[in-house]
Amino acid sequence: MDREFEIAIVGGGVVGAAIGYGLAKLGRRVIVIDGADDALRASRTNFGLIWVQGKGDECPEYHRITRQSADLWPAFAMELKILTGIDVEHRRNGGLLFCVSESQAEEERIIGEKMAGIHPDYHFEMLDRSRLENMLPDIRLGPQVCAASFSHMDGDVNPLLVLRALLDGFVRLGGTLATGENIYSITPILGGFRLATNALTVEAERVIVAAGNDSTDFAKSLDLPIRLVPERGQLLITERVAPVFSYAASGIRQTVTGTFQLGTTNERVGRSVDVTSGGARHIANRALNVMPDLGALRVIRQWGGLRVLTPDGVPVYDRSRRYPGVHVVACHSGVTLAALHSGPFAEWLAAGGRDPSYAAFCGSRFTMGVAA
Amino acid sequence: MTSGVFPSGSAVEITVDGRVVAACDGELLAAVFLRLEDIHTRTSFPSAQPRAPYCMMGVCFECDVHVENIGTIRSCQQTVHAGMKVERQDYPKRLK
Repeated sequence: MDREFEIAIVGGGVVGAAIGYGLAKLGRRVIVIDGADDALRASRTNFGLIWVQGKGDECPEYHRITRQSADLWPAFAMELKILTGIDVEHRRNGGLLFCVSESQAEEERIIGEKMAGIHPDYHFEMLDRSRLENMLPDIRLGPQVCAASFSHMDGDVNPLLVLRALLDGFVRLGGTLATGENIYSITPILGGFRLATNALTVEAERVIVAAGNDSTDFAKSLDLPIRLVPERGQLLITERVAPVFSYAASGIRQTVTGTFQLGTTNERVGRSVDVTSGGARHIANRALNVMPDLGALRVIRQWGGLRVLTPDGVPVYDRSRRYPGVHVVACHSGVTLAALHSGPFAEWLAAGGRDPSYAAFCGSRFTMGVAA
Repeated sequence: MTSGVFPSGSAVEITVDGRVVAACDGELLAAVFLRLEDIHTRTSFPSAQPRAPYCMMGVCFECDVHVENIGTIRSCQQTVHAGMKVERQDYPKRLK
């Protein structure tokens, strides 16, 4: 059959855009349908880390794809720059997980050694305070900082520029982008699906649901094996200061343009993206324990977003049992995994998405049996 | 007496980078900059481009300046008073 589009992607956040980019690059006729301004839009509240350390400590396959994507990122950032002219400010200077107690340092060492035991190319080292001070000559560390777990696998990007570059690149590669559309139905038709929004009707042979926390809206009608437990994270953003910190870190990132981003909270509050004074206090205390001089900076913004989290934190890459032409993708680390999603994962989808490469990420682990 | 937008207040003097500048009590600081020959408020880091008041409603942060006893502020969100000492942000602030 000859539909206008081979693939319709529901969701134009960092996940949908990356997959669309990869499929368009492979010459597929793809439409990405992005939500309206009242959508939750987790991609626009992201911290921007490409974080590998400790990721997938309970799921080796998750660690493997995380590492794969982080390793693909340098070339991918270059590709985006050449195609779109947008420098996404990718850095791979390594990541620091600051420890403010000996017991925390011991926990991080145990996790690191466990990961290194499973993954031969895993890198981490515990740095004591004096090594940290040598590494960070322009920063005064708080008195409680006793160690940090450091890994050169970690890095960061500007997440808003990543989203912009992915969507711009997708269109340059021949993709069709529809924005401001609320999809109210996805209906099976002969040889494909019909997607109806407030303004358009689109027919496509296959559908990829990558709508973040809103993906569950389609779970019942399309029989998608997905369960999500949204978690709010708040951030504080400071005024710009001269660059002194170019590492990725747990809860502290200084952008290329000087702003300190401070995180974060982990809150189960339904679908609220409100910011709270309690959240601000938690974030500020945490950051000031590590870098007390941040306390003199003006806070210029505070925002909240909802992490797209499955019950075990591991992504879901799966298909509808009733409609095999409908795929669902849901993950928390859309920025870290963007290079994978636009590369090997898009190739896998283009080939049908049926071989078991991503079997570890099947959603039935939540929707069937005792695991539910 | 002052509306905060139209320069209808009494004439006052402020300083911008040490130079005396005429202003009206209660007007927006960004408006003072827009009357200067050199309207720039800050130099963007790291691009080194000059920036000036743009959105005039507190959203873009291009009009950030340093005001004595206040710190870094958006000049479009700040009214003027006599003797105010203002500095353009041509160099990034230091963390310590």
